[in-house]
Amino acid sequence: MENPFKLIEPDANCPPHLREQIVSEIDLIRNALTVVELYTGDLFGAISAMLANSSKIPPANS
Amino acid sequence: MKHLSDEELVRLYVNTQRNPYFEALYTRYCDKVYRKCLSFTKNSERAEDFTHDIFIRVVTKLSGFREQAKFSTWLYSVTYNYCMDQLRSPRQKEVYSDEPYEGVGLYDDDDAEVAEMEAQRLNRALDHLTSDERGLLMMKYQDDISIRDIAEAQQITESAVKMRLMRAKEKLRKRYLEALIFWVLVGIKALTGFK
Repeated sequence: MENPFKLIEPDANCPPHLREQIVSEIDLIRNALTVVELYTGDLFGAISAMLANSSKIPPANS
Repeated sequence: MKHLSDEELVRLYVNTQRNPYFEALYTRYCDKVYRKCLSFTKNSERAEDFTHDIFIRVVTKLSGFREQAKFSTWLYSVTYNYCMDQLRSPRQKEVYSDEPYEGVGLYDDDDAEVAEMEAQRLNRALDHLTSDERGLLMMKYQDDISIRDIAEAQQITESAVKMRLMRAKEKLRKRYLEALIFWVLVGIKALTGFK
């Protein structure tokens, strides 16, 4: 006897427009993450470069 | 891309972040996920929203997929968890207890009773169950997910899964029999009425 749980599954198909929506949203998330990564990475890079440079500058009165 | 397994596609997507790998997975499973959402919501628009959210969730969690189970099992677990979370009433959480209660024996894996149920009546009886109970039964009997994998997906112990499954099955059986008796009585009434 066939499992009745398998028989009650609907036979509808996923609407085709959903694929484009999901893919474009994934692109959006990925781009947003790249921007955040880029800016935070650059920000920390700039701060550390600034600190490294400031430690090399000798005091003015010496 | 047809020759690639699901797990290979996941690895390729995680490593390259290229959409075609994800789209291949989506093509394989979108109908399955949509149908599961439709089973829960009984509403095509809501099922569409759920499917959208589930695939977005899947993409963000893909790097955490450890291949301890098959990709399909993992995806169905994410799907069931999402649907159950969305449809769970606030009151439902309080009701759960995994202690055995009187009148119910130990969990047995004898599913002959389930196999004998008639599909349409079963569907109606399932509507009377909570989303958690329905989800558990569907994981076990529709998708043949093992108790161990259900336990992992639900983050509960295997014995808790068995206990919950047994209760859900008991409740389903009661609802099913009630409906069956109701229709038998309606039939008898109709027959005696015609005479």
